[in-house]
Amino acid sequence: MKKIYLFLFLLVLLTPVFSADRDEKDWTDEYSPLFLYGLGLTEAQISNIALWGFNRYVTQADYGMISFDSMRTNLTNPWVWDQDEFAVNHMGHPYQGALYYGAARSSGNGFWSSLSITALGSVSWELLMETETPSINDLIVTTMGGVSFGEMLFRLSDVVLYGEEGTIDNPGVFRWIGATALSPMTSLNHGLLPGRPPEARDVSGFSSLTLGYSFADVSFLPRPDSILKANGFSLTYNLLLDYGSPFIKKGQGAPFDWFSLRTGAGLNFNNELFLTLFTAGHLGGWTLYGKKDHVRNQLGFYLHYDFIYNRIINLGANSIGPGWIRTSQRGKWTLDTRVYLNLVAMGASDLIYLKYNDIVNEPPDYERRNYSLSSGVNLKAGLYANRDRKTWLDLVYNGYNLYIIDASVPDSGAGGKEIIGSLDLALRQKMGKNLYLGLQGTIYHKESFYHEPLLDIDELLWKTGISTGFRF
Amino acid sequence: MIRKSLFCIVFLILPFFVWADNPLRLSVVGSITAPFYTGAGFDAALDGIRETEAVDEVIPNPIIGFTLGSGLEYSFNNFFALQGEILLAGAGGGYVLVDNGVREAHLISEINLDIPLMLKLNKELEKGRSVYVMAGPQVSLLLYESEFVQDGHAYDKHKNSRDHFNPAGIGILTALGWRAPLDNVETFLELRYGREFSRSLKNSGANYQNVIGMAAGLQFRRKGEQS
Repeated sequence: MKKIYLFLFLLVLLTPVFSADRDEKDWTDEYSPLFLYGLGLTEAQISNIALWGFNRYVTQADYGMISFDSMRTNLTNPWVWDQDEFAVNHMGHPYQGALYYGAARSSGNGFWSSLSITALGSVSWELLMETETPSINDLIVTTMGGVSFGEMLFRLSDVVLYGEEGTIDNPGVFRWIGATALSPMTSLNHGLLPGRPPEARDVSGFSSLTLGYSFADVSFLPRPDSILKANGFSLTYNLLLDYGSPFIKKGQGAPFDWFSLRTGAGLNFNNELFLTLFTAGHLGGWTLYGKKDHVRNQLGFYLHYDFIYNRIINLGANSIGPGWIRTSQRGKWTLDTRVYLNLVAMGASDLIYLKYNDIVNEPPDYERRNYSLSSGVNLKAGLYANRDRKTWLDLVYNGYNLYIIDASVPDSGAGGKEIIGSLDLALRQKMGKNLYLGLQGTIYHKESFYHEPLLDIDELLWKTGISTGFRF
Repeated sequence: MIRKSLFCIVFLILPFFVWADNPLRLSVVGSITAPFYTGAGFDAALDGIRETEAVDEVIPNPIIGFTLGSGLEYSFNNFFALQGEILLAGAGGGYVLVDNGVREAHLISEINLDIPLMLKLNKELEKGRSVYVMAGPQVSLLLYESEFVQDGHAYDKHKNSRDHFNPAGIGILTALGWRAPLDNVETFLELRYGREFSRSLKNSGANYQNVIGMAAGLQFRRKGEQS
């Protein structure tokens, strides 16, 4: 607990240093960095209060019933690994962090000072704004996930509002609605601090719809007969998006001047929700030119937030690490490769024993997490080829080697190691002016090697289908 | 009596509106607050609970509340202004039963409509910023009440009879604030303290609602007005 407070103290102490990284912008010259930092922090706290007020006075949730006594308890007790649901911790908290970050960033603060405001927003929420004991995993996920989500949503909000060139002077009402939906705090600050230059870059990618078939299989290891099988038709919306150019010279550009986002959402297995999100945001690095023409390399550091949510395999991973991006051209072929090797600061994945026990036999009457918390390493490798921008081939693998944090093991769970991965293969062919038809296949795998008494288990899910969509 | 009071207030304020040529400014304000009860009657009630429940201690426990609403400021000059507000307020108070280290919080929750009218003294600073103090009477009307009782990690809701609460209260609201201009609005942060002089709970002897709060808001300038 003392370490947490030391961290908090250092954040406050370093505020002026963080604040100094604000981009030079004429529009904020009349405000001091400290004023803008205070404005961002105040707005982040207002978003906290609004969320707490909704929990306390509208839904009257137990965890919203705070008082001086609950604050005293939280301030004096040790931090824990919390027991909240997977979706709350790995979708809700990153979005909550994105609100803090959006408030900070759109009120004139740079990346690093906005990061510190996000961390302070999370610390104050954990300590003061809920009756539940403050949790270490929430702090990490809210801050790291919030920064990733927040910066991407902040920039995409500007693209929606002002266009990729940032030249739309009077955005229409639909642009305002879209931008506000992406980043509400950014729209608020358009009103409070008008005149901020748009942070817009070229956006490119694919938007497609895939109709296909999915199959899931769970077995004990070594693999005897399956203990669970499921299959059915699936319908998935996929979005592959690149923002900006990945080739950013050292000392030029700001964090997330380039980011990549691959996401999918759909229904399968009797209307069950299926979500994936893989992101990588550039923090800093060096552009290297190859010996041949049309070859460029980027070495850099990247921040990642990855998320898989389906009936069989769930994963949340906040990671950071070095990456290498290379593009080369030969004749009509363009080949991009992306390789990242990351440290996973906070990972999470379902303990299928507990997850299915909760579904079949109902969860216990006390709050008990049905997934493990972990840390480890992550390898992401992608090969993207296209011929004359008519035929496209993507081959992407994301692998996670996660070690369950023993202190976080929930009741009836076990420590151990989890190897999780997803392999994507997509082929697209241009059929019309901007219409593409393609084939797509994905395999998700998870091998869990648990300590006694749980048996090792193997989970596999694949889906394949025909896709159609357009390039932007 | 209330009619007479309202008439007097309107009669006293109206001339200022007529005489002055400064604009009205509209604001929105929200705050997070710490409401609590004080008074000999409340202390005695807690002692009574300690005896009847046979617990080690009963400790006063401020709950966390809010205010949300809008205000209207009328400036007589750069120094004096009058500010009226209409606020939805989460108020109340609470206490904790402690027995063998086990804590059971009781949160008495009131939702009120607060209508303060305050005199504002303003001191201008550089860059268009200013600090100010405000103080004035406040009327509180009870809209809704309930009590939440801690049971481990859960809180059970109890609906108390309205007969236990006074439906209206009279008190004072004070504030110390700092205001700074943004592009076309003013932002402000305030430290507020409010206290009722009338009793909040009917059957607990002398007890009074107190509220300490941290408020933030936006004040809109008149069209064409410079900061």
